[in-house]
Amino acid sequence: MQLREARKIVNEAQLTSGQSVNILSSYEPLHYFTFMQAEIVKRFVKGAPSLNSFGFDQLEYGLRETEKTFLLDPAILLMDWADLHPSLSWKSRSGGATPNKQELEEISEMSVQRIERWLDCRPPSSSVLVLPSDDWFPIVDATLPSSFGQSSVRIQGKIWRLAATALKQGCFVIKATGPLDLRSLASAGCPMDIQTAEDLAVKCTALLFPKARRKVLIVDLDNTLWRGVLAEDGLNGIACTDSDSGYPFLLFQKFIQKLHTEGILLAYCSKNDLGDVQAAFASDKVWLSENDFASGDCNWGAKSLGIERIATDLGLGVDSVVFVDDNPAEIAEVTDRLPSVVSLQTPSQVNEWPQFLEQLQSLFWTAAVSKEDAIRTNSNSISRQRHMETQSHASEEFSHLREFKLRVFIRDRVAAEPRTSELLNKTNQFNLTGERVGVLQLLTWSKDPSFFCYSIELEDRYGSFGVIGIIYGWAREKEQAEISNMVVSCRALGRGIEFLSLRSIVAKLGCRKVSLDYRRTARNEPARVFLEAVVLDFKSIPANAGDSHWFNLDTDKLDENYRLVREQTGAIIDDR
Amino acid sequence: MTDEERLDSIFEELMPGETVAIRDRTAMNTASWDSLCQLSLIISIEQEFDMTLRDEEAIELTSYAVALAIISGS
Repeated sequence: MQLREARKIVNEAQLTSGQSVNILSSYEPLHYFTFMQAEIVKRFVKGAPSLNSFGFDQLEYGLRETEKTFLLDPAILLMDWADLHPSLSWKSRSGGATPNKQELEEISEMSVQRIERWLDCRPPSSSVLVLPSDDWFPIVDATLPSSFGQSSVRIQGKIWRLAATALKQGCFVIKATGPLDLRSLASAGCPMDIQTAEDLAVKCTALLFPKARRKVLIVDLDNTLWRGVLAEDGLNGIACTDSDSGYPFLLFQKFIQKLHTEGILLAYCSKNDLGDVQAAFASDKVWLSENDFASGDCNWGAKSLGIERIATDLGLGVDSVVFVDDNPAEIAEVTDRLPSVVSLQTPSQVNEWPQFLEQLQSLFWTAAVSKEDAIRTNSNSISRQRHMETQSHASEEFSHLREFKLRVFIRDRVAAEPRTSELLNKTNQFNLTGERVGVLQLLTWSKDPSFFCYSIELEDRYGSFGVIGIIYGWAREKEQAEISNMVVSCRALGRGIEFLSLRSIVAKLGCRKVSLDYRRTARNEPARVFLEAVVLDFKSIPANAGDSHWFNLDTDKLDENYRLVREQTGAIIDDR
Repeated sequence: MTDEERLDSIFEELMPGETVAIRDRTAMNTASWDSLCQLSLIISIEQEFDMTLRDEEAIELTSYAVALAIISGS
């Protein structure tokens, strides 16, 4: 927020005189005052508390007033190094002078004790102690600036002692981290720059006037709780330990378990087989256990439906939910349908994790973990429901994907490409037959002129997914084609790509009659759901797993689904 | 909005209720133009015009005319 914008907010606000927020400091807090008032105004619909500033030589007066007259009103003590010793002070014009050792002990001890008395008077959770930035510390010892000398260690030790006392008294403690602003210091003794002023105002407001705490964290699993895709990479292919590339994911698991101990309910919502997921949690690969999760939902449809089911299980509204997923399309779908859910994307870069965890912490922050919080997460009354749902593709909505600018590329004669056999052998869920086919087999088949093998490639505005699907079969008769298998990576499901690609390939084949082979496996339920939406007479499902059954394509049903997906997503299909 | 109009609005916000016309204002003839107002003026100009004032410019910023000259780069 720019200073002018903050000033405008303050000027237009109607403040109440019923409650005040008191800012105490030995310097003039300048723009911090404006940002702080603006942040408070943003928190209140009307009647925001007004600020009192006890700056410069009014610090002692401010300490006294907030011990009695304004005892019940929030107070923020902005500390400077000079508060611990006058020789560090800009005001005394002696900043930088090495303090006399005995004098340092006496004067700084008096200051610390004065502030400790103040902290002792203040009610819990009503005060913020802001520690000064290290960059504001004058050079007082004969050492290199990057190292510590005796005086600086003594003074910094005092300030940390004060911080410990503050925490014991229920006072919030934060630390300024910005550079020294010499221009502000020269004019008003204020060491903080404009960015630090805004940053501190945001943090102090969040502490003193917290937003309603979220109660449930729902996480996706693949590339969120662990690195990798369980359905494709298998249990051995996922990573989330301290000895592999999944280390950030281990940290994330430990972090959300910390939230769990602070009263946050955990749940997962994933496009996976429930059996696979439970096996992963039971293994030593995953640090969290299934019991850490109050609810779980595995489904191949929209994530928003899973989130609603979980919220119902837990007896909470979706406005209590924070949802984390690595897939921007899932985030967009949930944001579109459940705007009251806070949806966050899992970091794609290692360096983005700390900020992400900090963001999560702020959504679940509480001043104190209550007994009720602990009871909530440990209670046996928690349903611990597990859902394994499938949803008819025909009823799915795809309009939230329009802004993703989906592009589907269909390419012919891909039998010899390594990705083709890799995908055919990795894909379990959307796999019509579950048949595994090696490269040599594909090469042998491709010598037959009636054999066809197409790849499906996907990209959106965020980048390319690469090849996400394969369709192969034979067109031996002039007007008839047999699709022996169709696989689509679970990373790409939920976008209607299967309808777009099958329709395009059928059109390229130019056959009036198309049949598809289907064999039930333990894990290809998503393929069955798709088949049901595009073939004639699906009632005759093969009774035994592994039995082959050929279904005739219903081109009208496929066309209808194709039209629906095209209209809603605006996807472009390139099948040249 | 011209540069002058953007500068006018900053002066109006920071020094409301002054009798001297905005474009005639100086630190000498404007009561509310104190050291704190000076700092706010510097930050507001830097943010509004996406520029960083040099130390000499910050010190010499004592009138509307000077502010306009700094913004115009003259």
